[in-house]
Amino acid sequence: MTDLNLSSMRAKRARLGNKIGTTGRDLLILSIFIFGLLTLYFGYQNNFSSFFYLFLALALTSTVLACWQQFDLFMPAGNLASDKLEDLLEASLLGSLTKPLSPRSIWLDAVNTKEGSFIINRMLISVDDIANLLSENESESAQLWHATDIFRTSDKVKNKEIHGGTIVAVLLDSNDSIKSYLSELNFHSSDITEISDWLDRVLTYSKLPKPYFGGMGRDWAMGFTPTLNKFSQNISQIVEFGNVHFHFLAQAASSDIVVNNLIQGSGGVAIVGQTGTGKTGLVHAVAERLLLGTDGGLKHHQIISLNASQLLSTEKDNLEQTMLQIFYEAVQAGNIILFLDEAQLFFGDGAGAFNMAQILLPVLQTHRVKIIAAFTANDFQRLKSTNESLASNFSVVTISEPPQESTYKVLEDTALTMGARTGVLITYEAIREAYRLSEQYMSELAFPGKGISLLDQSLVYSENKIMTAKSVQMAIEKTLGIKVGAVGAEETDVLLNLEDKIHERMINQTQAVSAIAGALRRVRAGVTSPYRPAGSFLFLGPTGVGKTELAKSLAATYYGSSDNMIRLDMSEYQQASDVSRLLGDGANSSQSLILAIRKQPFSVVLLDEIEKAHPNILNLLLQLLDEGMLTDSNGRPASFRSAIIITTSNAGSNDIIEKIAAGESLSDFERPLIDKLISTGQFRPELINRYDEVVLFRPLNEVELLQVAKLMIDGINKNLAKQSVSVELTDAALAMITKAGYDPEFGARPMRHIIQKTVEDVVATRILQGQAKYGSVVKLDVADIVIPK
Amino acid sequence: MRYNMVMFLEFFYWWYGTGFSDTVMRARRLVIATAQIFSVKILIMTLFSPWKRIVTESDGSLDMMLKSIGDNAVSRAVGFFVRSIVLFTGLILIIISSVVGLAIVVVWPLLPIGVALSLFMALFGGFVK
Repeated sequence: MTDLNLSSMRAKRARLGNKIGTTGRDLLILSIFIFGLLTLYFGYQNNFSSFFYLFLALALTSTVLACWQQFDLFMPAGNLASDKLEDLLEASLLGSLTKPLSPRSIWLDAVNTKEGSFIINRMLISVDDIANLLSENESESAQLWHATDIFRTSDKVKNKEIHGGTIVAVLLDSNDSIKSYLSELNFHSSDITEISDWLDRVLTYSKLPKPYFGGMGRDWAMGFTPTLNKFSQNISQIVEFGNVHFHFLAQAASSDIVVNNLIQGSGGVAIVGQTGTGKTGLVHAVAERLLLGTDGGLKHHQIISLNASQLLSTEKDNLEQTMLQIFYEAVQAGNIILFLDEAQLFFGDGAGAFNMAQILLPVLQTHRVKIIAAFTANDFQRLKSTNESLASNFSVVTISEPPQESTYKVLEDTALTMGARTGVLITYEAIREAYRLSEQYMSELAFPGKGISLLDQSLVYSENKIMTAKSVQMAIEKTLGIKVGAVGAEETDVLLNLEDKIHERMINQTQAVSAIAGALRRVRAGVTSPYRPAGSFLFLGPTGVGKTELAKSLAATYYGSSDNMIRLDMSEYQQASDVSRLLGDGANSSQSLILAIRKQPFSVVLLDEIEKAHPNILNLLLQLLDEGMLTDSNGRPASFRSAIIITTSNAGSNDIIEKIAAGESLSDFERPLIDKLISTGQFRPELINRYDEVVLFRPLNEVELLQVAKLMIDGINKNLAKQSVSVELTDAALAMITKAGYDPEFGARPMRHIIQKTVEDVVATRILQGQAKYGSVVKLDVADIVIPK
Repeated sequence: MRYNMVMFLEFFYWWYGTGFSDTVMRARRLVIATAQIFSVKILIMTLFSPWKRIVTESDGSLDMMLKSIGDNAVSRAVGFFVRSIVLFTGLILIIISSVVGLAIVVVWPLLPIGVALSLFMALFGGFVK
């Protein structure tokens, strides 16, 4: 490629076009009218004087110049086959370039083109900051042109013209200072390539001719459908008049299969795919394709979506007759394809559903109406098991979640239509964040649907009509009640002092608390894998040493409330049949883990006495710890990736008690104890190895038990604070309660019961008898304490 | 001076080359778009079809057969009438757009000549009738 020749004729024409601009063109058009009117005036006066010819000449000259400006100077045609830069550069960029040409001057011209500003706006970066990092040396422009040529001739780029966007993309990747600057803003080379690709597609779309859908008389040979219209939405009309085009379709190959099946098959097509995979989008794309009339057998057919809930709510008593009328009208119309979105609602399955299988079956068997039905895999499977003959009349088109590359394209295109609809500029950073967060936190939906849904929710959090990554983070934080944004100063303080915070509720167990706090810090800093639970721990130790209390403290500290805890006693899941209870969707069981995690995905999941669970349940636990996902009895996934999994066990308790009594520390016998639990078959090694950490809890000593008792008394005082009453125990009374509240077998577990009986009951009586009045302190000594037997 | 001369030549090169062929294309697109808006092809192919498929089906009896023949003839007549009106309007607009398009194509090469001639007349040939 040669150096840029700004003296070429194309460059000169482009510069002239830029100078005249739209203002000049408008003035020329105004001149045409003025001079034209003057010409007419002199002509009307029948006075073909010099003035008449002069104004005629001026009117014609203005016309010629306006045409030249509009059709040539504005966009002098280039030559993509040429190797000369002046033939390859886009006209407005070429027209704005002037000598001396350095990377910085070229940058400043490129960002002012519409293509260049597209990239700048989507990245939301400072033009001046980048300009300051670019050389003003003229000799370096040759390198830029060389890099530009390599970029534009790469296979990925379809638009081979060198426009402002090409230059901006190349310059953003041209030197280490810029790369480092962009890296601080969290942009990398791959992001620039992605945004360039996005721009490339936008330019390709803009050059497509306006589609022709058949004109005003298209549907006059088709029948009226008054009843159908009442209970439906015309997808073809939405496509035709709503300017909703599907240029990039993640499921493009499926569109061919659907159309071919509609033409050649039985006329019933079942699109089967997870919610969010783009089933409805695919139907919209098929509707556009049919309107374009490229598929002979279905030329100008319209797709009409039946509204199940509206039918059921308004035609409940006359449903069968209405449905028959709808099918009759669809047959008579001759150009209708019925679309049953969430088709399970039409076959008596799920809330607000009704069964039209008996009406639909003969329609499908006789091929009189073409029908597209959208199902999830499970819903279609259920239809197959309940009504095999109906299901077999559908040709099945299965669509799966598109890969990341395609999903990004769909999200980018959606961002453009969303932006056009709402006036919000959706940045690339917002799209990237929507992909990341929806992948992590919206596991029950599939891409691209979940990404689109999150972008849609984020619109209200845009600032100054600009949606950034922060807007998306706020949307997910408000919707799910979790923290996903950058860690703030207050939160940093909490995270760095987590051990102290937890110890406000927990006595000792330093090793366990430290293990948990470390896990939380790793999660919040984004160090852990997003494809596993946020943390997973096995707590081993005797009863009543604080295992559950630590889980509660964790829920309170990390998830905001100790209520954010799902607790299951695994001794209730000892039979193989209990697996279905655990994995039920909640319809038949209130003890479903799946139901609980769907209600509260941001929770501590506490599985008590795990060693008592059936081996099949332990197998499920392996999957849960490995993938952070479980699948319910209907085949729908449930995510545990935002949860912290804690399993507790008393296995090895006796060993712990003995070793601690013998003066050993936990760290001395931790590994041998775990090995012993494995060798004795109490735990399988693959299960132990899947935990982030196995934490040993030691029995509490007398001093610690006293502290536990004090914590409980503090808790009572907190409750009494509303009545301005407090309770105080003498050291002797506290020691007496501590002694009574400890049991060698159950640790400190009886303590709460003892305090209830010895302290709470006494205080309650005194309040009721009027002895403990507003502002008073109830003092209890040994004589006031009666230990229950 | 040389720059202006070259630019002047560039203008003529474009006007009688790409500019003219683009103008022919634009005129052609205008006529096609008019025909498409009025669905000319579809309307001609369905000119005698019943209006909105409103038809009466016969049950085989003579009465119904006569009734259906009558009803369907009316439906076809309505269809023919509406389509004919739209087709007629469409054809008139197609003719107008064709004439306008043709006029533009014819006038295009004459415009620079017109400029030169009228300038010449303004400077040297102006007369009062």
